Amino acid sequence: MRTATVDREGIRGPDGNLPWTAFREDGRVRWPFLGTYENFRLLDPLTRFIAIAVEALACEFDPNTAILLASGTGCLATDRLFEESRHAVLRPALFPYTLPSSPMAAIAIRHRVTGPGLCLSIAPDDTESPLAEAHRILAADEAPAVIVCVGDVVPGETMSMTATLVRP
Amino acid sequence: MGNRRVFVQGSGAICSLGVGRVPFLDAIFRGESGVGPFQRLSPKEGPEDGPEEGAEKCVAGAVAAGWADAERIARAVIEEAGEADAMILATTKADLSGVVGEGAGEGVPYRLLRRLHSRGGPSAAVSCACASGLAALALAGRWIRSGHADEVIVVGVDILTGFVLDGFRGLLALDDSPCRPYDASREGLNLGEGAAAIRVGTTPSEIEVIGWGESNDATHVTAPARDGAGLARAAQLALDRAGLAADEIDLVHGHGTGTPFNDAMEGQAILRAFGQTPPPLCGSKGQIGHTLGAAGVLESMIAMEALRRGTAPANVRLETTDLDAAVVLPREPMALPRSRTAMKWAAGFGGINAAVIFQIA
Repeated sequence: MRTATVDREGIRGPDGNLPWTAFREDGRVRWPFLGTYENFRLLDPLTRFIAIAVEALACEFDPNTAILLASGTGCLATDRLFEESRHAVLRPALFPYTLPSSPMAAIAIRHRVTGPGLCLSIAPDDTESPLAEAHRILAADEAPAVIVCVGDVVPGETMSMTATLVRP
Repeated sequence: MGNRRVFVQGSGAICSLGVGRVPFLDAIFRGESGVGPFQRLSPKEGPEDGPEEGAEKCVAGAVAAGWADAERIARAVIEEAGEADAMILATTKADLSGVVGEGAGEGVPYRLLRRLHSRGGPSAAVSCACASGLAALALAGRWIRSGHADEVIVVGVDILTGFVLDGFRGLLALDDSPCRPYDASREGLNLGEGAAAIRVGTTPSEIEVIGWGESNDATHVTAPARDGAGLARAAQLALDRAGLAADEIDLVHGHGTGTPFNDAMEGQAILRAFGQTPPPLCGSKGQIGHTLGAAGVLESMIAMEALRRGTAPANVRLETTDLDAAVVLPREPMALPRSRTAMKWAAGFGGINAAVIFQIA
């Protein structure tokens, strides 16, 4: 299994420890850093962290790879922003990112993976059940590999995302 | 991976067309519609964030029938379907209790699952947008085949909230008139609310879940792939898993949201998956609205009932379609020449596609 984690400290993955802006600086991937959270520019905090964590796995993916996203807080940060906007000026672009399948889509598009997608809402600190589910997907021969992203990203509260590539 | 067979053990439903499986399904096959102005029996009923009475012209409300919240309607359908040790919840935002209100701050689906699941077996909360219900059924099938669980109740639930109404309205996806899935004049969807449960297990029964397939378009965050390739791939994976040829499917119960892009995509997908002589395609969101996390479960019940009755339900309000002429879209209930196997499919934000196949055992 390859694993990479992104949190306030930076990136820890197969390429070692890096500052969390490393991929922008080395040009590997710029899109998670375009715009700011405030002006949104298509990406919410959860998507940004997932994008960087998956990038930090530093590998190619089979096109039929599955993606499994599991989070305790899910899209809470965007939920709150969208809820606030409802009482001020509605921000429709936020709404799709109140659903965890949207961050998942960003990864699927970026890495051209078209395998099954599964988003789970899990108990806080539950890191084992998503990995167990990934192994069941593999055992069922429903995908050749599974990108498992587990974490919570709520700015000011908790920000950690771990991506794991699970293969047979 | 085990090869245990997966059978439907029970089901339950609450939506705008009725409380209970039988009234719901009878109304579907009579062609009734629960879409209309939002009304409450009492101003005190329903979620705090719910729409004002009369404010929504075209929704399919279940709360209007006196069912106050997501947890309550979920418990009711669980009771009707029969409990199981394992539970999988499918929802998008449920009652938003994790976002607003007292104790907010954790994931909405898991928060509701924790309240509903009192037994000690495995559990999961699936939030795959509009494909949540079918993703949950696929997950349940995987759990049973693998031996992770012997019996699983899959519960889909979502209710009308201002949050969700504003979200879809902001995306210009709502039709202020009763929606017209697959019709050339379609302009958008009507939101619905409801809950449904399907209990699956290993005990042989009338209907078997014989296959499922899931895929991602990997093309756009919200819009479906225009060519239908992703949904067709999910259908093909389900066929492969079931060991069936395309011409062995007798009916496809579609997603049929009434949005221009979704329905056009499905028209492409059914030809990709089934060729130029596809099985009939029918949808039910013109009758019950788009019930989001509940949709896949509620509409799977319709697909199974179509097999039992040997009849495809009508696509209500369909007059003239702009889909390919080869796509068979019943305008009235249609007797099926053969009614052994049905596919239910769905697509959701995030490019998620799912298909599940049911067969008379």
